[in-house]
Amino acid sequence: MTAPSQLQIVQDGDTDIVVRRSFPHPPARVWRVLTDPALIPGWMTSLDPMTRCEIDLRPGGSFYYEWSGADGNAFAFSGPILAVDAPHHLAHVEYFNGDTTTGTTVTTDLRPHPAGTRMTIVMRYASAEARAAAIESGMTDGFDQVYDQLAALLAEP
Amino acid sequence: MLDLSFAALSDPVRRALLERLAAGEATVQELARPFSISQPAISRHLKVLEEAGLIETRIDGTARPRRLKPEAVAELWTWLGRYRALWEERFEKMDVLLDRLAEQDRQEPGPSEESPS
Repeated sequence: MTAPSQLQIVQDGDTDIVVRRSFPHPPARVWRVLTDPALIPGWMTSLDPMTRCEIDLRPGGSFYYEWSGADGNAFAFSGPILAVDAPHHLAHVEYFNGDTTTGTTVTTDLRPHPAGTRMTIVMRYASAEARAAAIESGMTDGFDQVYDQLAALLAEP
Repeated sequence: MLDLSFAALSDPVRRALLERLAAGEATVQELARPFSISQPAISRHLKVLEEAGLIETRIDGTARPRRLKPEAVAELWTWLGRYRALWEERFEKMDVLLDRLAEQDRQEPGPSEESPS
């Protein structure tokens, strides 16, 4: 419940999602958590745990993240690393399940500020539709069912 | 708060309780009636829902009816609320990792984080 770290998520234009968050730690430490394959699975969770995490952190390098559940369902994000300027700037492209026809360009910036680090992530989707789909898939089917039920309930007068 | 809400919704009994409360406020006894589980078990589920900010308790003499907080449920339901919750959860985990690294750095002030050029 630390107010200064307050999370902001906004949609910008037709294709961007901007995520802002502060951390009471210097950029170098935040950078480590963001880019160390030994640390990434500790936070980049979905409903299923991350089961594979590889990152070759250099311009021209690439990454591969995979999540899989006990039910055998698995999905992955992978793609090229475009720019690396440790510990302040990272740009990469994300492909969902290896589909290179539509990629998301993600830039992560860490700025020092008096309380630690201000992080800004800009996710630029290929289209407005791709952005909407990404948000939709943020949670999985089990939850959709719950929300559909709640939506129906709330819609009642 | 949103993380708690998702955990709260992961249980079918709690979803059924929310559904019942969407029809209007109800006491624990009334809420427990359709279920084959004990009243204390229902109370525990209600506590989870209340801690997640999805319901509240009204004090009415000796009665303690529970009611839905529609705005909280509505926020959860919006797609942005869901998406936001995912990120919130991730960043809270990052906070934990960062604190752990800070602790390590304090204990072993060996190689500094700034790499030599």
